[in-house]
Amino acid sequence: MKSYTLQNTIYKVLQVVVSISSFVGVVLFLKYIHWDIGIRFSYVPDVQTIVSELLDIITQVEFYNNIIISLGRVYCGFLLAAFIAIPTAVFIVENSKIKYLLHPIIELIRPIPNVAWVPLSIILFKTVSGSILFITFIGAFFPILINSIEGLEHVNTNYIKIAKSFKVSTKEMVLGVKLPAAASNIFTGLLVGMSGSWLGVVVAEMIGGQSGIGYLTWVNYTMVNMSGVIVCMFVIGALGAMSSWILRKLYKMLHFEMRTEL
Amino acid sequence: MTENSVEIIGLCKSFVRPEQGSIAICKNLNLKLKKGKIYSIIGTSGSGKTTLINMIAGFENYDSGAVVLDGGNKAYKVGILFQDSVLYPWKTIMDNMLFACKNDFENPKELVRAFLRKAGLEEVENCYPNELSGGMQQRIALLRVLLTKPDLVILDEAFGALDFQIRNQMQELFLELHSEQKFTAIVVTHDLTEAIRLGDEVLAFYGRPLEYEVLNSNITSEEDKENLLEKINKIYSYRKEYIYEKRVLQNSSRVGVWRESRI
Repeated sequence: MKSYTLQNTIYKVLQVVVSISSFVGVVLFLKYIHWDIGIRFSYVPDVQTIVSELLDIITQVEFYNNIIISLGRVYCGFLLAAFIAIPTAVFIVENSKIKYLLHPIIELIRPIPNVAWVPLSIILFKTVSGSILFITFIGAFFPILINSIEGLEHVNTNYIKIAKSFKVSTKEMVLGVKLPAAASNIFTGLLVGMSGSWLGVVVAEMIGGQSGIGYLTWVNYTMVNMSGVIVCMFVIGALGAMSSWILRKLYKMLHFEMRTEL
Repeated sequence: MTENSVEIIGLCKSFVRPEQGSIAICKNLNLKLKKGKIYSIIGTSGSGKTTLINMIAGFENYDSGAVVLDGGNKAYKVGILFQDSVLYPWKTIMDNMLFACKNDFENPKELVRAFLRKAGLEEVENCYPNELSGGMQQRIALLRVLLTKPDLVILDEAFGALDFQIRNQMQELFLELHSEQKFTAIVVTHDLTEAIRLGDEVLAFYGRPLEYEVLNSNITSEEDKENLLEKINKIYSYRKEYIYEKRVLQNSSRVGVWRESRI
């Protein structure tokens, strides 16, 4: 059993290494042959410069401060969105009249990309942090809301019928049956919402922020430090992947992966 | 105190389909199910069996008429078991069972353990449904339904997906629990052997709007068997819907699952 787990871990690590190195390999190859058709790879910094930039940047306290600030903004916005969107979805699905009332508003606002909210959020909020938090919130809110509604509306009717035959209360029906049954959809919404929050925070920090990893990326760009930009991009990617990994672990911990439909 | 567990009076139900218009599922349907008896329902797919049991269980509304449970007793309990989606996959077996009964009993955990022990399943209480076989899941689901001490139990093709051996065990467990609890039961099935074995009465559903015929399920001789087959084939072959073959009953006779074998 232990050797199987070790084998599995080695296999997973190898998968990650092969996946990333093949991507980097393709980029390096295109740079090596000076590919210039459509996309210019000649300006991409070489690996040595990027690594030395990375080694330099990870020694700076400011770098970690910026990461913590961005993480704080993303998680605050995301959690706020999740805590509002999931109960709202339950409320909408349980009350058909409310659904018809809110549906046009949701459909109108939903397609607006969170980036488009940046100018308005700057006017709406007194502080920059407030407006950035709003952008991260908006980025997560609608994916979570829409997926939760979708999941709750398509709960296996037999689950509901059985619960009704047990004469359970509305609270038990929602918390014990409908939400767990819709968990895979809600989880998809959370994953998409997390990406939306990261997108929002980076864009908002680039446009109006004075701190954060997005701001750091922008500063590197304005200083024409492309290796710094690439390091920041990888850091954003790694933080996003870490956030998804945390969500997946949480999902497994709650035993929702036991669902046979998944 | 009424002797009828379920009384269906002049029940009408129709669906509206965009291309076909209004389709009457049942029109002025009358049916009485006596307390403590098992009623098997056979019939072709789409004949309205599931719609009828949904109306009896209160899951679906009807256009007119009435479904009276135990003379209008509000505390009347209905338990239902389906072929699939029987247990909640995110709950352990213990939690699945507790979900059904935690409000009704003083010490529900002990009650659940006693029920599981009865079926020889006490070791699985902390397992999740997907860790068990389909047969085990179905057995636990049946126990969960009966844990609530229902007055009426509805099995909607509940044993349809199980292999012969497991199905036989399930039928035995069901009959054992029925003799203990004396609930009324409706068994919807496509399996004539099962219908005859379990049912005190077999109702053959056909046509649209829904009609039914009560068949004799007390088979004691070859002649009874011939008569039953003839009657069933008359009902269904006349409408070119369904034909039961003699070998179905012959096989069931050979393996000793006839109704008289349990009497």
